[in-house]
Amino acid sequence: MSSLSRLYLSLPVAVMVTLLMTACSQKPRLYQGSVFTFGTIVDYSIATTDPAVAQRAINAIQQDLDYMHVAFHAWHPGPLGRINQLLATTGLFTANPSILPLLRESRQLSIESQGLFNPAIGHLIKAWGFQSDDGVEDHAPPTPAQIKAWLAKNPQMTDIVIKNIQIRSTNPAVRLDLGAVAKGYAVEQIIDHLQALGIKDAILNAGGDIKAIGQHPDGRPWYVGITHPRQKDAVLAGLDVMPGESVFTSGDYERFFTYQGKRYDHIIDPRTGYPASQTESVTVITSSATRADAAATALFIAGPSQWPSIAKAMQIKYVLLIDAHGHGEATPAMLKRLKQINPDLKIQSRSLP
Amino acid sequence: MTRADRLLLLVAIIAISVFAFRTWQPSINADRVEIISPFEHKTVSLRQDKTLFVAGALGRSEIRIAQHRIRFIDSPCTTKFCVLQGWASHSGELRVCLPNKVSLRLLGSKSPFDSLTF
Repeated sequence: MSSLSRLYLSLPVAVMVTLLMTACSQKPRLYQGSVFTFGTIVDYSIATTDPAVAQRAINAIQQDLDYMHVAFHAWHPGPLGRINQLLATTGLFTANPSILPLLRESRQLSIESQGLFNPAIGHLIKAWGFQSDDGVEDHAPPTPAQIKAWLAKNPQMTDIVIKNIQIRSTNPAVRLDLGAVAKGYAVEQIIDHLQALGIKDAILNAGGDIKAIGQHPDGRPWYVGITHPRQKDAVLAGLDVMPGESVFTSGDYERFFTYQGKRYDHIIDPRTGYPASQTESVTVITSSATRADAAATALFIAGPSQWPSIAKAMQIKYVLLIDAHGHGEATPAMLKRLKQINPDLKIQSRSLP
Repeated sequence: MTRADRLLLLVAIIAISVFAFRTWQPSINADRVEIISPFEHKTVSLRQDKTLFVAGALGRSEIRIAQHRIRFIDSPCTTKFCVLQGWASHSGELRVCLPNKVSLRLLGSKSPFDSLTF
């Protein structure tokens, strides 16, 4: 075979290989937007080469979250509302199966948090006026006598007995409010759904709570900023989110009311019955969004004195806590990951026990 | 240039570098805003001062753009938290009237963050 013939034969092959390589390396487009659902705004960034897949994913986000919002709502009529009515009777009943996986996981997480994450205190949260659709208007807090009476009833997640799909409570004071975990669970379910649709690279932000899979179309990790708890237009630091990680923050600035000059935030310490006041914000990173949500709340309540022991008990390796004086503390592992740290923030490294 | 001049220049360079490092902030001014409601989805430039009216779930929200910033002026919600949130000017910031389902998300081409946790 002459060299010219070899050239003619190799040309179509070269063209085909080039075309195949171009097709394989087609850069995914980033589909970004926001939807109103779950009582908050959910931002999404989905990287895909297929617009139809992107649209199916966006529809899934809206529809799944709408469904879960109804199912997990603490004070609207729905599956959880019915469960709360029946828990108060202390009799055995069949629970809506859509709630059971979240209920089981919440019970386990409550035990691990040593009761600091306690979704059984729905009555107390209601008494503080935080079960409201239209924000929280300034009002008088519950009286010390009312809080003392609720504390004496001591509702705990361990009061709930789960047997297959039947449940009962041994304590009539149990009223579930899954507000500190439902969003995390919902984010976890949505990410699973997106992956089932073939999405490999996405980041979902439900009211400030984030889970990412894959990476940015530019070939770098998703990069997230942690908002300053006292300056809305500033960030504390940035961090790369590894595939499958969840980044959750609990802060005292999300829902609160003021009465006679004193601010009362929405995160209630189940040990005292009053809002936790030793912390401004807690950011955690872990794989499960459900665990991240519950842990952020538990560590916020634990405050500067107790957060390392609770983080260890809940298997949270990455923690950044800003205390009530604006001082930062972080696990050594978290500190290594923080970038562009705000020059005004001093962060002390603190190891888990 | 005397030795003293060179020393002064060195001190000035160090001082300016330290000042620049201390004042550096990883937040970026936004140049446009994404407005979302149940009835519209649009992106508006922040370069021109104007007042906008956006139809939401409860009624009409009044929004003001001024000096590359944006805020809710009025909304048909009862608590007016959206109005109390005040101005937003940095990329990634969000102003929301949840009852009226109107959101303002600031966008900037140079934002270093893909998302913000809060």
